[in-house]
Amino acid sequence: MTADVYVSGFGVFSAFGFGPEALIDGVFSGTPAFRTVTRFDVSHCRTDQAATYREMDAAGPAQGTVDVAGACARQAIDMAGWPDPAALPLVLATKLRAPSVEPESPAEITERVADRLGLGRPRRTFVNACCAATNAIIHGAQLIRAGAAPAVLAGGAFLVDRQAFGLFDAAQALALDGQLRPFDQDRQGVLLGDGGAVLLLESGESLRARGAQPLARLAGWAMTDDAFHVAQPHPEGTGVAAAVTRALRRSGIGADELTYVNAHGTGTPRNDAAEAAGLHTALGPYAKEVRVSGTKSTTGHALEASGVLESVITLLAMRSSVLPPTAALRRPDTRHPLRHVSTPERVEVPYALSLNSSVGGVNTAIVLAAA
Amino acid sequence: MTTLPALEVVAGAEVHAGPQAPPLAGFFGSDFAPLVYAAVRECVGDRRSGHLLEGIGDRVGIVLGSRRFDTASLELSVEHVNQGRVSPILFYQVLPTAVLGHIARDYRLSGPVSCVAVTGDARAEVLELARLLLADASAEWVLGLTVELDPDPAKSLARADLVRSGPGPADGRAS
Repeated sequence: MTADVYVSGFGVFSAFGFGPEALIDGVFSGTPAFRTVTRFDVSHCRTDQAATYREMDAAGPAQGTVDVAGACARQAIDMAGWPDPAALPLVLATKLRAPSVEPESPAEITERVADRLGLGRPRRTFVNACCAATNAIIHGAQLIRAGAAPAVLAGGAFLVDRQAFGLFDAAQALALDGQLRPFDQDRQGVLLGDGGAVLLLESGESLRARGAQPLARLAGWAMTDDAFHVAQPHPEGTGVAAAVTRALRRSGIGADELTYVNAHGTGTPRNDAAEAAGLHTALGPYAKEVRVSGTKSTTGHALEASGVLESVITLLAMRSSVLPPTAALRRPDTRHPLRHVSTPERVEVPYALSLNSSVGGVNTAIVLAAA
Repeated sequence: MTTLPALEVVAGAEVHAGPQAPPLAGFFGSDFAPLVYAAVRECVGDRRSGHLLEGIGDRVGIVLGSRRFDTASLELSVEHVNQGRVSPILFYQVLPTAVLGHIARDYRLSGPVSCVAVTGDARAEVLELARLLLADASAEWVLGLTVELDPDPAKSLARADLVRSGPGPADGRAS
């Protein structure tokens, strides 16, 4: 169990379009992608805003998920120069579906993506809400470390659909001001966004054998639970703190070596406060020094796929030495102050952390290291 | 090629919908959460008495596997959305992590929590994920859960297995 795990390729999709260039143009300039939803009727809803990519409007949720995940996986294979797709397991995060609306089960969607690209096995599907995609990445790393495969495709896909939008709207969870403002005192809630990404994770031994170069190293990871409440996060972010602490420990670095945190940052009052508190507990005095941004402020919340979308954003920040800002942050919370990135910032990023949390107190943390 | 640990099943239980799985406070309209909770209680003991997870909660992971998870709540959510009014409880309940958060709170479990959707043998997949968690040192015990709802409520069932690395020979296969 000693194999190092690297990222050697990725594919990405968001409301800005397919590929890293579109993502960089939008997220790294701090330009929110929210617009009036045209994919389905929102005339009866409290808000009409989401970050949707209009060219995917006609696909439908199931086919759209297959198309996005398939395209991202193909991008990842091509970027890595991986020669044999049949040797690649696929670990995908996707949403649960009511059979009357979408007869295809989540795992059948994963099978369809894998079949389209001629991928190997195992093929696994994580559905643990907003932590599903990070779970997929962590599981991919575990497969590599266990020697199950030299490389694994891991990611997720989510397209804003009528059911998800309607559920969040009717539950009054969407921000009525049309902005997702993580860590802002005036934040009103979340907004949804299309998103998908797939990482090609690969062992160091495999990279060396084929003479390929990694993009980054997956240095550490952890999953925890708050053990606190069915729906609310622990107000002091105990589970977040434990995930960060364990991920840093696994990566072998101290809090002082961390440069950037891509926060879960949903723009909801309780979640952001808990996350900031957890960062303070885990990072101690360095919590005020590490730069933090919440990029859902530009991409929207891609739910099950958010973890891998934000991992790619974090990886791009490391590769470009530019940090993406939190858009629309005007009055930051003061109780657990953080060093927010409010405009694009140029800084070297040797180590970065990406966080996610979900209903049930589930938390994930991954540490990326510059390759 | 490294190996995964052999598994020791410390305890196991299977429950059916009905008297074995009474309603669970905070959940409604579906047998899913009551089944999962009842399977855990049968497997490890009641949270209010001496149970198998006492004192080890920070080293226990949970893996829940199913084909389609809580189809009853998912269908109910479609009805609610069509009516333009969603119960705040249902908003959370459609997610399988909700009942796992309930279990984590009651039994003080703070390890990793995974939900995996399957096409085949859910228990086999759950136990395979458990082995990877144990091999990765992400947990020392795993509560492996499977649940399937059936249109005939009497056929809906959940299973819980508490497993840890076993003393037997390691298995060279990992998938």
